[in-house]
Amino acid sequence: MELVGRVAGVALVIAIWLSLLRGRTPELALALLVAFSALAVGAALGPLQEVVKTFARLDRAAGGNGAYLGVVLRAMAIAYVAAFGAQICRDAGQPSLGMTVELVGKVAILVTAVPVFVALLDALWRLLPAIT
Amino acid sequence: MDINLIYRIAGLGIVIAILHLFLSQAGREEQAQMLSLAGVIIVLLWIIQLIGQLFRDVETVFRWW
Repeated sequence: MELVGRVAGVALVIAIWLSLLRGRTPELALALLVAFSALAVGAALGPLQEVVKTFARLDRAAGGNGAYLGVVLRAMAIAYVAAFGAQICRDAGQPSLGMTVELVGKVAILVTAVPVFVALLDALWRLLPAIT
Repeated sequence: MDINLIYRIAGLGIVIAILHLFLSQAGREEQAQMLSLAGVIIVLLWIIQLIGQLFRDVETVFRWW
């Protein structure tokens, strides 16, 4: 709650400042935008770490070995980084660069998720002879 | 959330905008361009460190396995 208030307030100030800077030095306005985005996302990572720790505890309580949770967390990290980079590129007036970043992020998540898919197929393969 | 870097970038932006205005009014367009380039390079150096820190933070938060 406190974090949201601080980020929203600073974002208001930055928005006014950006409209001032954009007419004279657009490249520095973009730099200011990138710096604010990086700081805000970095500040949101602290609470996120608690969520990740909770998920890890739940996984241990459920008797998981951590492999699948690792895949999920890796996919989350890739998604966050790709969304951040794509949004910055879009703000810089280069939507095609942003789309490329998003595409690479999707491929990276797909590659990360392949072992889970293989494990699912293995489980099905073990299950099927028992039915027939 | 370290707000000082934001203030530094905003202040540098305003200073460079004003100096750019002065230099271009004085008819020194090339020096004004060089000034803008220098400002962008300085800010880029700060931002690169910031982004590197952010990506390291993401890596440490999600490195649970």
